[in-house]
Amino acid sequence: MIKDMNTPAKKIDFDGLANQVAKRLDEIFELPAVRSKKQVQSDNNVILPRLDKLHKILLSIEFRDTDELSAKYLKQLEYLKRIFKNDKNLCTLINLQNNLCTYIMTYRKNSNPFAFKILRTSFNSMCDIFYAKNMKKNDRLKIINKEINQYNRFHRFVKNRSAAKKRKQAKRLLGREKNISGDPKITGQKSDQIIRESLIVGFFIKKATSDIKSYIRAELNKLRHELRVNTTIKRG
Amino acid sequence: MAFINLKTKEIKIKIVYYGPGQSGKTTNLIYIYSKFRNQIRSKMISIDTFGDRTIFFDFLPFNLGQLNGFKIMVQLYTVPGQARYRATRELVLRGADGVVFVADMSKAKRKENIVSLKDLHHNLMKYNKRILNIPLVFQFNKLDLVKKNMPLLSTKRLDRDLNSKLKRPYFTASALKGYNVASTLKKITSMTISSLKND
Repeated sequence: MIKDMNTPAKKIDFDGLANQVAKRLDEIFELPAVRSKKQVQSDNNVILPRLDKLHKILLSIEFRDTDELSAKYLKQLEYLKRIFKNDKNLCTLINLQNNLCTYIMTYRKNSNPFAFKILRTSFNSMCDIFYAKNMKKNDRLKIINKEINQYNRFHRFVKNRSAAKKRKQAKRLLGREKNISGDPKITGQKSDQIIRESLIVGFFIKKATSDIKSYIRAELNKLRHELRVNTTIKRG
Repeated sequence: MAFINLKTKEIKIKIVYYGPGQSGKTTNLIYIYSKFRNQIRSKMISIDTFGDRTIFFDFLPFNLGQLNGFKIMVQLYTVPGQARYRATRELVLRGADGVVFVADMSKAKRKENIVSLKDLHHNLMKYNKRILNIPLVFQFNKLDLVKKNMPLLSTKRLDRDLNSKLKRPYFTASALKGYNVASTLKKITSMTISSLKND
């Protein structure tokens, strides 16, 4: 699009301009990358992109919890752990995230939605601590304690839930055993055997009934056919 | 199409990084931004990324300052590489003055490179542009995979696959390490500026 047609665009020496552009780009790219004092002090250049990447993955995990994303998240955390190895507070937050991420990775869709929430909050508090370098120790500890408490509550909840599930399953199994054997004092191995046997017997019974059904159907069809033949002969 | 304002003496050009999914288009921009952000004094805008995948586009504008009395602005865009974002690619390509085709050097991606180049050709046709006329530079990316013992396509092979008819300049590069990222940009910018005389 060329604006202001009073001066023709063809008057511009584009080849010369292209040469100058190339020179300018040479100047830009051949200079050593200048880093300000602040950047050198905090080494933000390395950490900030990582945090940004983590944030993006975190948002993606909430939409679709794939193994690939979780693995990437863990990888980034590992890298950050290496950077912050001297900062205990940040390390604990990273460890929390690590545990939550592995939990999400193992349970996938069945993972508790609260895990995502804690993962997000722990990431946010990690960022808060990182950005506010002059934060007092007490404030830092407050944030971390809050996260740890939240995580512990979640951990307890998940543990209790899984224990309750196991108990339910055990009860169900015992109920089945009672139905099958009528004897509640059957050991675990025996009960397994009984269940297996009952399944096999059930399978055979199903097959036998279907065979009988098909046999009866075939016989009935034959009878119908014979009846039809007889009636046509009588009419004739 | 380039924006040339003769009154305010401004020239804006749009360069699009095109190529198959995960070939390293965004990595190119990230490298330029992270290494030279103090020199180019601008911010990179990444729109709608899903994990490390671009869904809409990335945008990096930078000012080259005054040259020959003209303020020159270069706008770098990337397109989403995956096949399903065809409409977005088409939209981003609109008004492009120059294209960098970022091809993946890994052997597994050979077909995808060719398909993507064909897609570029079709999308340019929609804007009444021909791939033969538009300033185009090839970047054969992911040279760093050699160290990981990954099977790579040779430059000859890639040149034959993609560039046999077009005969455009190409660079083997590693966007991750920054190898030949700047030279690709330099080449496409100067090619685009000198092509403005034909508009």
